[in-house]
Amino acid sequence: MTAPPLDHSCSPWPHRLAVLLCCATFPLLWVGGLVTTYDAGMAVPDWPNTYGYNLFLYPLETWVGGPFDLFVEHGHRLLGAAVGVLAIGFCVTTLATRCPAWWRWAAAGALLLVIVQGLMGGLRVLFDARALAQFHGCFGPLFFGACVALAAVTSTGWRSWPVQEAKGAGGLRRLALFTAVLAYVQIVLGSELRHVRTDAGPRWFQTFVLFHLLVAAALVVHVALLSARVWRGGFRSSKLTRPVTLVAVLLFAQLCLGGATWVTNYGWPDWFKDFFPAASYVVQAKGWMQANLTTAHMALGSLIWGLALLVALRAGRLYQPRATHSVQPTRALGAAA
Amino acid sequence: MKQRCVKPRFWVVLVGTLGLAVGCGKAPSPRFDSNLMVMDKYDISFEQQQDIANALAALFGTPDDPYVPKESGLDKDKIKLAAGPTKSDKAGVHTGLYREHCAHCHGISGNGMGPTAAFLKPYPRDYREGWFKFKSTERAEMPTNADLERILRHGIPGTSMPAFEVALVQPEIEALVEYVKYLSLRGMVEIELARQTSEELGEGERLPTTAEFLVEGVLKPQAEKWSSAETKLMPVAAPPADFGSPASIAAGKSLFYDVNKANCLKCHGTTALGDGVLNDYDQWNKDVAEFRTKADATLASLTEQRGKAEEDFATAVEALGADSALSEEERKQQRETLEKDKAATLKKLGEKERMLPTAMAYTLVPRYIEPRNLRMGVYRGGRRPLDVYYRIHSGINGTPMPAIANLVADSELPADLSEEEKAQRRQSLQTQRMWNIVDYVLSLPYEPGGELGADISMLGRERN
Repeated sequence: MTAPPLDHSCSPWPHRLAVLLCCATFPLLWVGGLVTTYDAGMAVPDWPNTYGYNLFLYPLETWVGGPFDLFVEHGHRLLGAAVGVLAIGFCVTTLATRCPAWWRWAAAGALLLVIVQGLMGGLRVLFDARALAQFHGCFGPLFFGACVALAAVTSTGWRSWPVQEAKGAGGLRRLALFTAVLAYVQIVLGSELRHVRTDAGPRWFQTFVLFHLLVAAALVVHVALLSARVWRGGFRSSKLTRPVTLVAVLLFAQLCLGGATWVTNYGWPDWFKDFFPAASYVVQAKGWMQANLTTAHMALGSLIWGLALLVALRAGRLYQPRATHSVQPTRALGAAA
Repeated sequence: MKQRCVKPRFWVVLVGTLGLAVGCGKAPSPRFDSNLMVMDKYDISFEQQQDIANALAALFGTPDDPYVPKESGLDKDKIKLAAGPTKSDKAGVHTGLYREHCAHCHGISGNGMGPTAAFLKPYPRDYREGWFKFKSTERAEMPTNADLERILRHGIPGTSMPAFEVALVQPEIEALVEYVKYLSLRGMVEIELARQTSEELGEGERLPTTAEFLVEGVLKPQAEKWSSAETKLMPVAAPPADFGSPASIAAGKSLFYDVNKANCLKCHGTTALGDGVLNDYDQWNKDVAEFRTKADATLASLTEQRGKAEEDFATAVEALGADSALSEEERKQQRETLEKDKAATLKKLGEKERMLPTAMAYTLVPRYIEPRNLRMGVYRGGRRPLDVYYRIHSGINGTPMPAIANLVADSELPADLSEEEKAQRRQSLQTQRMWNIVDYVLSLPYEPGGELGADISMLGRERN
């Protein structure tokens, strides 16, 4: 009697839940951005309750029919709670199904991140601490990156893709990783512009705008180099070309959104002011355009960071530097000893 | 089997980090900044500055907890709505409106030095001098509530000043108007206190802290400027019957380019493209430019001034020693006086050395004002004929745009009229001619190309 063939496959559920976690976290980031845009962070003064109600039992009509600030803030909390529940589900799934042990640790890590993020959001409200809101805003994309990484590593392909040795793979991995790091640094710089203290001097804001622009330029260069390396450097796998191309396209859109964010918040730069639409342009405070373009700029930044991280992970998984077989030179016969 | 568990140390680190984050995140409450340029202008010592800050705190409170004496004429409830950190309640009532909507440009103190200020052109308004540009009152007077409301509601085209029509409801706009007045009044009182400290207090005398002095002597006269604004409106006569006609526009055109009458071409240029005088400052930038020049010179000469103080002291002591007419006791007393004077001079120089770099950091690089390109059809103070009339009648406060000159020559008035009749006729003609200029200014964006008033051809490219 022969034993049945060994099954090395993992349950597909952890991956499915990781993808779901990504899909739920991105809107959460967007709504979080809206909270900042509308200065709605203190629209609900208590936490974890909402005006004394259990978060989940807050009356629907008061939420949906109430002031917009309250709608956004409470909606952000509900979405956050949903993501928390998904993270717990992800943890439980990794425990209940067959999968590598380290996935369980990674799932626990993700759960911890979401708990810390939730606590930060809550403490921001309880202490009315604006700078803590900024940490909360920067930590959200970090959690999103963790979700993207989990979705990437739990996929079936991740375990089955062959590792290829390729010349220049080390450079590709470094470039991809550095691009992802730059994308995250850009989020942190942007958060300072969004959460700048009202009593900070103009020099402070000026410095951060300058760095935000410099890192944007650096990011453009890095994404261009990464795209060129992937498309023309012998790494033309669809697992890389697709996300890299998407990063490039999103980065272009992000640059446009950045410009639009500036214009809708502060008006056209001076050198445009001899042209009619700019000369007569009136900034509409918290208008639809201003609020949504600014929030979209923030959210797209997180998406670029997530995708850049995916590229970095896949580049590391698919390619490894070609092993160099060092050959000891044989000493020439008759050479002097 | 080996039991793996998360060590308690991990939780300690986690809770500690969060505690630290809260500690760092809970930033101190913002404070009102001292007007250091004014302190330097009036040569106010650190002690006196503290006295002024104390007086201001007593009169106006803090950004989180503002206070207004009833003599200020300000509405405490509106100010409470606009002040403090940004929050909103279940009913959607927002508090901390100023910090939510204004402070990032105008600054917590209303000094026009919010975080974004350096990027904006023109720089955000500094309310503290009480100079406001676009209003319906006479040039040097304060604006009315309606003037401020209009700017808040509609914004200023071509600048970073937003329109709040969509974002704010009427009570919120009123609250912000009141808060702008509060900041402006506070700034005006600060300047007045500095002036009085410098000009009216004797050597070593401290600023009085009695309510009589602070409220009756300082606050009330400044508050009166605001409360009387409604009575200082510009007189506006109705436009003449031919307003809008080619004849009225032509009359306005000749006045516009007449160097002896309206002389608008001086700044707006012979083309009206705003290319006349291009190297003039508005009052805010002028003050900053003068302050920076003076501060640079003072800082550069501090060592020299210290050396001179030492040298003067040494010379005086030497002269004292050589004066045989003085008794030992007198010599000792005079030497003590000289030492005191030297110490006071050195202390003052030390304070300058500490204060001026901070004060410089609280200013932005001065910029020249750009006369408006009138062919764009964009009028920052409003596009209604009445708005343009206001600008022509009283000019724009704080800028080189002057109130209109006399447009009626004596020779134009019939000689046989009495003085009273002449004055009436002059007034009537003056008003009519101002409306003619309004007519021409409003027609400029539509004026066909070709020769202008000063016979300078205008390029189509520049017309926009």
